[in-house]
Amino acid sequence: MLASYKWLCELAGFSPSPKELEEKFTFSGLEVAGVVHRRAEFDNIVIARVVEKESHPDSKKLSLVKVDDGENIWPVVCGASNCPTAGGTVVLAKEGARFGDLVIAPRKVGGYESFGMLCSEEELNLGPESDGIIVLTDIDVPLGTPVVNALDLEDWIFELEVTPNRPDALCHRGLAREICLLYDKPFLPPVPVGAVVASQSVADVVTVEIESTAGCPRYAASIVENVTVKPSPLALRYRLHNLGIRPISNLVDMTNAILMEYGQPLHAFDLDKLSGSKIIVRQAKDGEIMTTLDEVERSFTSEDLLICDADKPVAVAGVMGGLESEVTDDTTRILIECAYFNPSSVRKTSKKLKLSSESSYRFERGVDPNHEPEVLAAANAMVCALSGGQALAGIVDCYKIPIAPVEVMFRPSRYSRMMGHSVPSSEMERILEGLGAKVTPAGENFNVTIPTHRPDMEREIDLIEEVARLTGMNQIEAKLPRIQCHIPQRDNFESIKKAKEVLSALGLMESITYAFVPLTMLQTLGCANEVIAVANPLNAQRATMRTTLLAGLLENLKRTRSRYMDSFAQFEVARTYHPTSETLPCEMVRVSVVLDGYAKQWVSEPERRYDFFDAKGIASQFCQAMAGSAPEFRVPENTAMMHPGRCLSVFLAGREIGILGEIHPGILKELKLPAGAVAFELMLNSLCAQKQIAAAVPLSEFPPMSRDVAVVADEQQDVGPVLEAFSVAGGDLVTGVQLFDVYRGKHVAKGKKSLAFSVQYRSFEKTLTDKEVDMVHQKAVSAICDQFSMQLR
Amino acid sequence: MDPNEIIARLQLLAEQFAGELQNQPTEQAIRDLQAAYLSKKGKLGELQQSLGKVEPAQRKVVGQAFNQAKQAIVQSVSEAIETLVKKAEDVYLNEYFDVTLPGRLPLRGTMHPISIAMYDIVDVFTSMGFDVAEGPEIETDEFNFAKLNFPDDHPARDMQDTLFIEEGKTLLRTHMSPVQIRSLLDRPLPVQVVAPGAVYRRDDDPTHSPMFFQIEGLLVDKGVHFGHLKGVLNTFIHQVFGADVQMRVRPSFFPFTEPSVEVDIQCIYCKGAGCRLCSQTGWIEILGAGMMDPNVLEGVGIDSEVYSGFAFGLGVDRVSMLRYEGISSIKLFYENDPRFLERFWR
Ligand SMILES: [Zn+2]
Repeated sequence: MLASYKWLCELAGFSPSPKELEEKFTFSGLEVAGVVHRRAEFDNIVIARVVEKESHPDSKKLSLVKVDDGENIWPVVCGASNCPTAGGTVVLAKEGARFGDLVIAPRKVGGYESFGMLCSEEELNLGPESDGIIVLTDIDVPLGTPVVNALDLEDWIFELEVTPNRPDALCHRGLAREICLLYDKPFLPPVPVGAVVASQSVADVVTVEIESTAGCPRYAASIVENVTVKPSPLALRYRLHNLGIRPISNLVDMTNAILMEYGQPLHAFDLDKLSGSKIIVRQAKDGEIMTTLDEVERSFTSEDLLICDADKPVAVAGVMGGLESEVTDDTTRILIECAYFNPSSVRKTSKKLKLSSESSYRFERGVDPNHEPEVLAAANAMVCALSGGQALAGIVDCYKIPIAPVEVMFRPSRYSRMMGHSVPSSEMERILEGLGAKVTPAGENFNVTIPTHRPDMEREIDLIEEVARLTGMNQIEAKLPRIQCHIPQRDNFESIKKAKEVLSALGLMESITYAFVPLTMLQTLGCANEVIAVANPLNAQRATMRTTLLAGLLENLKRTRSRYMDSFAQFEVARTYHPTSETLPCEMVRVSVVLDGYAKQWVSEPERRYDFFDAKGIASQFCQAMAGSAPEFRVPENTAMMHPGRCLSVFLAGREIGILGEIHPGILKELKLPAGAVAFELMLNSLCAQKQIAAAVPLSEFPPMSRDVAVVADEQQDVGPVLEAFSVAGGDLVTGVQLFDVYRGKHVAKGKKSLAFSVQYRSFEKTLTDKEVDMVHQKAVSAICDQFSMQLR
Repeated sequence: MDPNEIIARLQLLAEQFAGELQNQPTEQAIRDLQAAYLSKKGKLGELQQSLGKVEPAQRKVVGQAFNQAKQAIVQSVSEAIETLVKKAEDVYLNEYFDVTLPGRLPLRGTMHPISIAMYDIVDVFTSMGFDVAEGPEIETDEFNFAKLNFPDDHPARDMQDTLFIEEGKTLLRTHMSPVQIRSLLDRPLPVQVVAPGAVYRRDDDPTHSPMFFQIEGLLVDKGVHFGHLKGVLNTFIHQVFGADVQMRVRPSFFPFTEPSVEVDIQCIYCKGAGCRLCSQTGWIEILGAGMMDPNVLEGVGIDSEVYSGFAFGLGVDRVSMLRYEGISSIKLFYENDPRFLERFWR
């Protein structure tokens, strides 16, 4: 909402400092987003008179004029077609005047010296008119008077952020009431008078019939005859222009000026285009059609409220008028509609038509249903003044069930309990009365009759808010509450936090990606069987809720590679979304990791790429840290997302919790990524459900012994089971088995591989002798050689 | 045998040993040399075998000579070894070493700057006695709007541009407030929770991300008032932004709180003097808050004449941007460029 400081002062009856007003507005709940001071831009621009005008010898467009600014006669070259002859009063921008980056200085135009510029409305930013310069009539100031004084242009335009609960602040009268309250002055706005009244009455000419009282509780109208449609005076045009409203003609400008002053949307119909001398307010028939002012043909349903004449719809109630009954330059008789429409009905229609107007904006928020006669009187007076017409006597006013003011009991004690702060009763009374309410004491409390221009106020708490905001909330003392000791409840928060801490401690970077991903990505990953779509997505890239976190991580990987980086180790802990038969889908917290490219190395160490075993190792460590026990890996049956030979299912305590592997090279190829990226994805809740508490083990005090052995095995022999079997075969003395070399080539037959193991033995009871260890070791070696058909090398 | 000859040969061997000892490069070589002279079959040992041929009367003298010679050798060996060790130590202490090579960094990961800010904030509230609550990201219209006092067809709904799953029925939650409702329904009174999480709006421009993070908190109990809200927020601001950071409130509007306020903190960069970051105002808007609207309390079956409460909500992305200088756009958070992520460490 844009507001003119000058206008506010006229209505409030006094002039506070603009700076202070800005502060007061902000701290009473009307946030000031900006203030534009209109003054400095008019420096060096003065009123001048043309004393001589000649046409340019070579140019039809240019005139050579001499203008008098009261001190000097200046030669100026003017390009406007309406440049007046001697005697015309114009606005002269002299040397030093600024128009954006342009600074006026003497220069040659069309070969002739020009000492300044004669200004148009648009150049001075007084209005939209760019056709021709300003030629002033009816002005009586000395030549050389600064234009800012001559035309009274100084103003401060406040840009206010009005919250949806403050329809009263969407007009200058409402804001002026607020200012008077903030400055503790009585609000006594001027009452417009001066309508020229004809003998005939409105009721003789037109009848109003409301079929839908729910949609339109009140419909009032006045009529003005013998109007002349013409541009409004500059002062009104300037005022509307400053408020972001385009001046059009005196009649349209009048409706906008009333809107900005009273917050009441009006609509002016050309009365001669309304047939049957009748206004009917009714719901539309399904499929009914009308063309609105913006020249769009629109179709309606029975949910929409229309204003109709005897034959046809002429306006969409509260939203926009119809093109056919529009006021034009030839209009001589107008009907001015001043109505109260149901906010929700206007909003529904406005949303459905995707048509929002200053009018619908205000009706949606609620206008005063009880000020129509006052507003119409002001409108009549203004039309008569601007267009020379005569208003018919009275108004038509169809208001069958009046909307009565709400009465509320206000308890000062409740205020103190709610705010932790006391305000004197007299101050509360002053504030409530300043808002326009009627306050009657009732014991310790007040009976408050809430004015209908504040539809947002209907409960005691609303009054508490008003008193609080107008008393100033910064002075309320801060205190810490007493919080009762209780059983803590933290949902998944702690386990998610721990997962992030563990994975970042394991060397991975946490990533946060959008929960919506392209459907194509999920299809590529084979995870698009059951998905949830966003009904109104921003674009196709953000249209489907993810079913795997790998979608986002692979997008990160792509972006990382496209930015010339070849080392990627990221994880994400977040939700995936899956359809259910219930209202709400199922949301699962997952933990995913993607590794690709070079593992970070020290300068002199050999380069190494992340591989399958990094993923496997990290998954093991992660499960250990989260659940207190090592996971079990099994070869899965179905692995669409992974390389079929490089993939494992992750189990914890016999329950499957996720998958791990090298991402299927076909998928990576489709994503234009090189093969080799590895990943895992685990279900956090299944993981945490298996949580075990860590336990310490006894520690042997005796020295360890180590034995190495090399065996020859089939190329296809998995080593994992061999390692496990070693521990079993070696019995309690075995404390560790490592594979330290795999060798193929000389001295090893084709189709075979040599595996070298190191086995550690240690007793809890004594220092083992070589002999004892040799015996156990040989037994273990021969046992596993038998078990896996391997030979000693 | 002539004992003098034996003693002379012994001396000769001693001299020979001393000479050879000079050039031994390693400790092992010295010990080998010692063995070559002193072991049974060594040079002294061989000579000692001739001791038997010496007349018994003179054996004692010759024996003593052998003992002295052996002791001298053992002594010089230990001295030579000591010298060698000392020399090696000198070399070690004086040799060239490049200390400018980079440290061998232990592998470390990072936490996302949004998570860091989130945990820092939540820690403050949990230390004050608040619990943590979660809720679904895909919410019902009822929990996201209706139960929060956003009537159907009310302009307040325009404040939040919504991404729908099924228009009018389910949607991506636009704020963390539905978790307030769920907490009030699920937990016994008094309720004191903070709810951190991802929220969604249909906004995508340089300063808005369609997904971002919020933390909302509420306290519902008997006798809770606006002064308590200020006390809790003041504590939060002092803990997260510094004990000298001032706070102020401005009246505002949210459908689910009344009265409602926006809370500003003194600009942490210019300390209130005015700078580009705070648009020269000296203040930065940081969160929204207010007393729980009685309609909301009554809607979850709480008697608003007996109980009262406050609620607040803040953007985690925004706090993160205020804490870490140089985050020029909210979009950086969701691109996950490793060069961006590696800067942050909790
Ligand atoms: Zn600043």
